[in-house]
Amino acid sequence: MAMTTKSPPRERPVLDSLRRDRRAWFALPVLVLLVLAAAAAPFLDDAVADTDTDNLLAGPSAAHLLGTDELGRDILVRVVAGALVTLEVATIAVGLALVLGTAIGLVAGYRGGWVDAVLMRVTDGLLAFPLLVLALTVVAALGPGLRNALIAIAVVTTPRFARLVRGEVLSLRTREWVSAARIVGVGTPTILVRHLLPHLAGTLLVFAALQASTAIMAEASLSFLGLGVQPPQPGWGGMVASGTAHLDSTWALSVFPGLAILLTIAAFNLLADALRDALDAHRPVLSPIR
Amino acid sequence: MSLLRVTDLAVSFAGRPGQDPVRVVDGVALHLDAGEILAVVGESGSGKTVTALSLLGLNPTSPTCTTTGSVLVDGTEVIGLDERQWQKVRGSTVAMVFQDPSAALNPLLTIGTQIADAVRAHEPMSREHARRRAVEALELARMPDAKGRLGQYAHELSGGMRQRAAIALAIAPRPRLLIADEPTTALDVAVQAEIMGMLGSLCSDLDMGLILITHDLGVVAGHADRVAVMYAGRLVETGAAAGVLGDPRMPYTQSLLAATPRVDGLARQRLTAIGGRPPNPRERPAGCPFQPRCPVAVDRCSTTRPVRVDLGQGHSAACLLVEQRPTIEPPAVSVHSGPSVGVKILAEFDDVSLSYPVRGGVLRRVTGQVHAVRGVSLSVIRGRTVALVGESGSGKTSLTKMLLRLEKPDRGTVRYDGIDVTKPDRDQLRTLQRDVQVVFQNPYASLDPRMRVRELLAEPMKVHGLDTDEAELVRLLREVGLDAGALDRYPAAFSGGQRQRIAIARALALRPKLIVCDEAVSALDVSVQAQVLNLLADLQQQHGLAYLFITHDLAVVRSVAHDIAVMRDGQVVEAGPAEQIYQDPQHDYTRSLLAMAPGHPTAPQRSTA
Repeated sequence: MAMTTKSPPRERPVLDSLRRDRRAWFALPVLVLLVLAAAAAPFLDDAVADTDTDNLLAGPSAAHLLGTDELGRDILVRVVAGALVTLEVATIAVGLALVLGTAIGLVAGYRGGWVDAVLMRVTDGLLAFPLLVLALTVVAALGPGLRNALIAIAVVTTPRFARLVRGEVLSLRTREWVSAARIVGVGTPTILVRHLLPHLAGTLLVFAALQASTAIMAEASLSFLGLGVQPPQPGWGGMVASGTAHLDSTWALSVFPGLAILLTIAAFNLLADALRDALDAHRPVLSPIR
Repeated sequence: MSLLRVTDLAVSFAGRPGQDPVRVVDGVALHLDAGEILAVVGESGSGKTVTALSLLGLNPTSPTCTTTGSVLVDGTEVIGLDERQWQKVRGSTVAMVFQDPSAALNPLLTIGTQIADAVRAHEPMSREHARRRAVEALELARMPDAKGRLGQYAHELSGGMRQRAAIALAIAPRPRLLIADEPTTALDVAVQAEIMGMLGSLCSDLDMGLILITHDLGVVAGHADRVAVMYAGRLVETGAAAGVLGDPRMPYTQSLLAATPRVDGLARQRLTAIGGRPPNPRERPAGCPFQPRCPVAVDRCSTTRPVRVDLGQGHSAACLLVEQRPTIEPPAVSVHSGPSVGVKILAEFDDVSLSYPVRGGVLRRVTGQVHAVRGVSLSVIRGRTVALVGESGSGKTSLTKMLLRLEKPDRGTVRYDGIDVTKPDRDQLRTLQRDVQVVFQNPYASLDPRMRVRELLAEPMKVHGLDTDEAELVRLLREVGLDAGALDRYPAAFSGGQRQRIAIARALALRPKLIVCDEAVSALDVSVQAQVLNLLADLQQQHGLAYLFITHDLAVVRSVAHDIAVMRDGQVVEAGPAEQIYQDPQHDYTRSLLAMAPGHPTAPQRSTA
């Protein structure tokens, strides 16, 4: 029945739906906190390096709310400053993968034929390795460091975006509006950008949020192994690693950065879920049939 | 006692928070005896499907949806049953057949399993017995080789066979009442006739009542005993099919009949379209819901809501003027003529063939060919309409795809105005892109939903470096009967008919000479279909357009075509001027197509039981 077309277009239905979603209410404050912490990081350069040699590996106290590490540095300050690395991973590495992967997927899906075959076999090849193993290989080749870790994570995430986009494009390109555009002579780049990309936006947003949590985990793992963030720069993965050496004297050093990782990953995952449901809810409330 | 007695049925859906509920069905009364066929007719949004779903308790539950009134099935009140009680009624007492059989059958279960499950859900019995019942049901649905079908899956069957399987599934638990929602709309003419015939005999053989929901008055005339016409959620006219269609008393019914193209009508006769569109359920007029579109309405029609008046012999109509016998003026005979100037061949298919590779196995190797088009020769003449007629799979669309450069012929040539469309040079390609346009069947799929009308119309013009100022876009919209307000809205804001107008406006943007209309009106309601057909005819006259008109509806062909080409299995079996083909069909296939076309509704074929 035509009821779906007749109900007035809903005002910003996605935002409405997010506002009613408890997962979003958890995720957004955590992510806002992450961004604020990352923004504060450049101002904490001195505090991060500041050592309190009287209090090594101390537990939480009034002077050091979350305690201190083996060099007497404040854990709270380092956790806050470490947010910068995490945010870089979520934006730079995932952003890079998003752009590259989408481009590859669009071309492969729309062109088809041997272009598709070549691109997808390479993609399949990359996807065949477990994510962390592949990331380790890339870092091993490029050398340790945050920049190389970001590149490694982008490399391992790109094929995932490419796969997703290609699949969507395969179905979108046969839509009649695409044929209609081709018939009047609209060029391929325009079709990709104007007629296909907008339809992928929602899916990509959800997928990027999901990949952000995977990427954060991967960076933390690389840093834990000493291949990511290099000391003395604070990073959560590295902090957890240094904490493991002192677990017999204090728990705080590993637990607080670990908690930060956990909360951030949970926030990104829940945000992705909430977004997916919000974007899915295009069906108006009253559409009993069809 | 009637098998079904519906009194004062009303269904309301809750709106968004803060909005009043919408009453989509209001004061509907129906009755049906065993062995009888009642057709419920109406346009999209008239409430016919919601009415049917209420009889099965399939509307959403409260508070989303509220159903009131009384529905007596076999003497038992079903309104207010809870879900568990409904489960006993559904299937065993009331069953339903849906429009799309591929959606109604589970693709992962065999036909036999599904039917046997349905039977065993209502009566405990052995597997063997259930299997026999399944075969029996398939045989009743006249499924060829019923036993052999048990182990098959839905995707292994053709569309018509799937619908037979879906019908078998519905009748296997031996319901007393069967509801069929547009059961043949998705099927070819020939299959349509067989399925309708089969449903008719099922009713008399099993003494089962059938409610047939349809928008096709031809089907009603041919198969229904009684008819109920719905408009804007209300029952506006009901009675014996012969009475209602032969002597319609409600102006809406009269308008519907006048808007329906007729196979036996005059060639290219202008249809009497119903202006406007059905009212939004939220903004129904206080008086008669049809008043804003009614050509004979008087002042009090806008204030007084008509009640149905009994006209004798079970015929009743809801019109304030029913005693005065209002009649819609019969269409002034106006026939669209062909081009007045000399004959010029615009597009020409010369012995064209097209096949698609069939791939199989893990390596996706080409294992065979499907010959979609086989040696077709056909010309399209400037200013004239060629109708391509045939069943689905006959190669109509594949043929036009080659003209549109979406496919390349394996053999033969397709020329447009002297240009070989398979290898045009740069300038020729530009000409082709401008001169040859297409309007697709489904206006919901052919307009990019993320683009505003402004962008949709401007896109082809920008590609070709034409001026896209506001005035030009508004002129295009005016030409298809829309106003400037449409420019900044998205396709979702429009009805099907309006979207099709937008698609036509977009096609006109480059001032084409030839438009391919691929089932361009098949998805539209009758009243809207007439509007669009008239619009296409007007545009043809004004701009000297040629149309290549793909359709399976012979009545539509009658109202548009100058020339007809009948296709079957990728070949043109007969082609010629429309008159000649209708008067004196040469090929057996053409004859059978014409014979199977649903007759015009003013000549009911089934006598009143």
